Amino acid sequence: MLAIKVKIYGIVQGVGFRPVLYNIFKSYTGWVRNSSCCVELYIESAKPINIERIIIKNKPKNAFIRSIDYSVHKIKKCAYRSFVIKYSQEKNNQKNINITPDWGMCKSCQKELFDITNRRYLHPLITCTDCGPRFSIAKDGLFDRLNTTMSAFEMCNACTKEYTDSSQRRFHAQTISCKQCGPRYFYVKNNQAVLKDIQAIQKAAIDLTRSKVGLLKGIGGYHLICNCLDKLAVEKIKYIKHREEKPFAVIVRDIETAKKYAYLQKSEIDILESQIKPILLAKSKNDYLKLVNLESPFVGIMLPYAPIHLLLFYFSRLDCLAATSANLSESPLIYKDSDAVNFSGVDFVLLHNRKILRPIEDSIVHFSLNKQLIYRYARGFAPSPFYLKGVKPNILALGADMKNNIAITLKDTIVLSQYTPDLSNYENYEQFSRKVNDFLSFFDIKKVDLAICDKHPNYLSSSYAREAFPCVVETQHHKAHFASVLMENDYYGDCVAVVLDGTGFGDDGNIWGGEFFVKEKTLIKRIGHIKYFPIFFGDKAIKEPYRIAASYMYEVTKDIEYVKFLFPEYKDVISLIPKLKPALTSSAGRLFDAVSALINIKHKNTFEAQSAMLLEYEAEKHKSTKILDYKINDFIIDFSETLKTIAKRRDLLSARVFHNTFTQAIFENVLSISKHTGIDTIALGGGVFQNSLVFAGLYKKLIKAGLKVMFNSRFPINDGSIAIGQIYLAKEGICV
Amino acid sequence: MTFDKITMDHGSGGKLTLELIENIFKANAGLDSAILGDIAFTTDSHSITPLFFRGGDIGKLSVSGTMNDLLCVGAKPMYLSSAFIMEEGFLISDLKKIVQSMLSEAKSANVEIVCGDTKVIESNKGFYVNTSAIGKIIRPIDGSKIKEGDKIIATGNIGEHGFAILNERENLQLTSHLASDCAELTGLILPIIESDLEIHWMRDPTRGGLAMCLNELCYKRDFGVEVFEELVPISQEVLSISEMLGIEPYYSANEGKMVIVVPPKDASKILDLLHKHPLGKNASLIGEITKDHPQKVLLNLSYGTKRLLSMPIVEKMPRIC
Ligand SMILES: [Fe+3]
Ligand SMILES: [Mg+2]
Ligand SMILES: [Zn+2]
Ligand SMILES: [Zn+2]
Repeated sequence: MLAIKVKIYGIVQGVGFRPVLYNIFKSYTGWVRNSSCCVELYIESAKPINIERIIIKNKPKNAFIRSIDYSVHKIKKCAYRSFVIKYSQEKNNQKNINITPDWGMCKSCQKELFDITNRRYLHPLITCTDCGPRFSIAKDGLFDRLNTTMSAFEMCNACTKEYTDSSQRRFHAQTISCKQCGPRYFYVKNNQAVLKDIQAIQKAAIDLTRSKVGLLKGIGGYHLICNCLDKLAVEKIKYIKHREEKPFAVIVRDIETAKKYAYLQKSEIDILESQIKPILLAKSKNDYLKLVNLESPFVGIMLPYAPIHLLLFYFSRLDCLAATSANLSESPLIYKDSDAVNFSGVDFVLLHNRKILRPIEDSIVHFSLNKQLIYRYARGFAPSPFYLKGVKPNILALGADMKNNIAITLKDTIVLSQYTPDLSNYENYEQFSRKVNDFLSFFDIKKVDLAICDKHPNYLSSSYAREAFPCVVETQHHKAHFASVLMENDYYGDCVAVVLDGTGFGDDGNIWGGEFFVKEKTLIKRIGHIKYFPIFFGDKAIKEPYRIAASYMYEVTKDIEYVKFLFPEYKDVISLIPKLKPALTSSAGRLFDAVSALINIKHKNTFEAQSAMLLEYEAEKHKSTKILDYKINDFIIDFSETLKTIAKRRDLLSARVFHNTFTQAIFENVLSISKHTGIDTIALGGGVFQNSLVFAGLYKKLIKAGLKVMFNSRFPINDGSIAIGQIYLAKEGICV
Repeated sequence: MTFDKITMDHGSGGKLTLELIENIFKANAGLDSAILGDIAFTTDSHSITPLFFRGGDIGKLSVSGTMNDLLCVGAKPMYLSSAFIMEEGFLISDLKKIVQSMLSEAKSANVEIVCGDTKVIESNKGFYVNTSAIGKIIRPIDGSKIKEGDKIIATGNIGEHGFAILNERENLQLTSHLASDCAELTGLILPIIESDLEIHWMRDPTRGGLAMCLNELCYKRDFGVEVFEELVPISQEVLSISEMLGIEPYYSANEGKMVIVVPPKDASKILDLLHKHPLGKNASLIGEITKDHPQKVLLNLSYGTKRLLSMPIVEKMPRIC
């Protein structure tokens, strides 16, 4: 007789692994259980079994197997009489990284939801082993019902039967419930639950057809929802959010509807339909959604990821709903019921009584050249494990301030957290500090050996790190951008990088953001950059890009009367420029701001990066390939001629011409650095690559020139992956 | 960020100044004056460009700043010393003007200037005044009695000195009537110290402005501060300059204001007293002490969100990425 002991590592819990194994091996004797590091399997068999092959072949759809360890022992007789699923082992000292992100509902559950003969017909919280909430409802890393907020709901007999019956789809589905025993929905008005269950949902659906605005509790938090084709309702949401000009995402009924509104490539359809179910920024087909898109040529679109979305479509017969995080602009997402029912301005609240433990926003994804670029890393992505080489100390990386994702290492694994918006908003900052503590306790990290933060003197995440941890290392922002690309691509060789970004604190005390680096062995050297230009008025300039344009034009002309003539409406502010002391910046993002203001696309932002985005949108409308003059000296790119010419023309075509010129100059510089160093591997990072024209334009040129190109695809291309890069820098001991 | 040289930011009264005091001088960045039994003792050096500005000059400033520091600990200013370091070539007529302002400011505070010193340095090295002063403690105010729920009062419009000086120094021509608020506050504050109303803490929000002052209030303490944007008295003029320059009034220096922490029961009585004096006519309750977020100063914005009002660290450095 043989006893086979198996450990399966990877994303293996909360994906229905134990039921699958049970069904394969139920004719044997032994057991399967979740342990804190893996799924463990013990089988007694008369003959050898090709265990690895069987497991890999039958792995559940959402599982990701990283490795399988097994050993075979001879035994005299069987110790077990049957094959059983054991409950999870008590938590021990080992760390755990098996939790999965929250997953959007699966096709089977969708089918059951509208199958009148099914026990869960119209059950608004239907889930199975393939779908449903995970991270947002789990108390710690062991995904067992008792460790989740589903523990408040005792399974009914019918559910218990399914849960324990290996032939059932919900065998050991920790989030199993039905209309009898599960959480339920309530329609709340003026702080009173007035309707429940189907009536509640029907009422909300009818409200939505009548210009009403609601708060809807989904998976990781609340959405503000309304009919996105209803002008009155959309205006109401804008009013509630204090947000006039920023587009809203929409949830559409189904993929066919999505195709009606947006041009969708196969990869885009795939991600929409995947269990991640992010917001996809896709090219609009028409202006049906103009109420929520505003001036954007893109539409932020998602498919129903919670059953309640489908039910609202079903009862309202609407095709699409505006669905934006319930909060004031740039404040944290509301996820507590008590906050929701007290939220003012909405017509109703539709909530369920399954508690959310940690708020998680919708993720945002965009495709350029068929490649995935992540703009916001949250629901569906966090927390996915990423494997490191070698065993390392416990590192905590605190990321950046404007878009915050933190990361931790657990032995040979790295986990990137969900996103938190701008930390200068105190509620976001609080959420960030809760997130840090939650992450440490969730993954059972008792001691942080090393904390890493950005070296920006005014970053709140950095002062947090210095206050909270004894051993803190500071890294340079754009080197971390670079390193995040290296980490994601598991690359340790020599490399050239171009980081095109907003602003970050540079090693020389200036504000960097258009940087060229060379990594040789463990040394990252800044070899070039966009030529410094002055920036006056601090953060205000970033909010009001005309100030950047004016500073730039004053620098390159030294003629303040000319600058006043360019922006007569701001001549009072502009006349201050020659008298003030500037900071210096090499930021690419600020250059886009300057051009946007120069050609009068946007003088003042109402949200982050607005002027640069509008410039890109304008550029997309023109087909020119024209390039203006620029200079490169010592790998330093000077765009002053470019901007002088644009300031003379001030036409909208300049939007495109600037993109062409910018991309060409960056390309030329990368190419000559590559030749100079003999390194042909190029890393692209930084928030400016969210600009499709820049990303696609540069990528194509580099590939055509025969270079190898790496960028962030699995992690955000923007500041969301700073934490990942921070870990790489620390781990590789890179002298920065 | 670590430094191996002194930067301007080390002298801006912000976080770096605090670190200098703690790490290099190995002193406690505690009260504005030392409390020595029933005597209070303080010293202050003054350098300012321009030396003469709308609302005062370095002479007036050097007396009022030191007087106000004594008041902060509950002392009645008594005696003052003065020391001058002046460059070769400095105009005697200017020196006379400066001394005259010192005398009249001392007189208004009922203080005697009792000793002094003079040094001359090479030309173009500037003009500096140091003053030290002794006061008689009426009752010690050392911050030890601060409690959750205590109210915070600002005695008048904030940000005026910083903006007025910036405007003149850089010749910004932003305004023709904004003046420094530079003033010694014995007339305003002494009646409160001498009253039977409870006062838990006082400080003049000079360098680093109101933001730094409030951060010092809760520095290394088990409580934090909550301030309300709508309640902070700020003149229209300061607001519009702030808007133009992109500098918040909370970080702009004051030289004639006091921030007072009082128990709720006495808050309105103290406000009444303040309002009686011309220097206190805009006094306002601006916030309170809270245990919710120790060591943090939160600014509640008028449209419902909150922002950390952190210690000023490095100026002119945008944080936004
Ligand atoms: Fe960045
Ligand atoms: Mg002082
Ligand atoms: Zn399912
Ligand atoms: Zn049930």
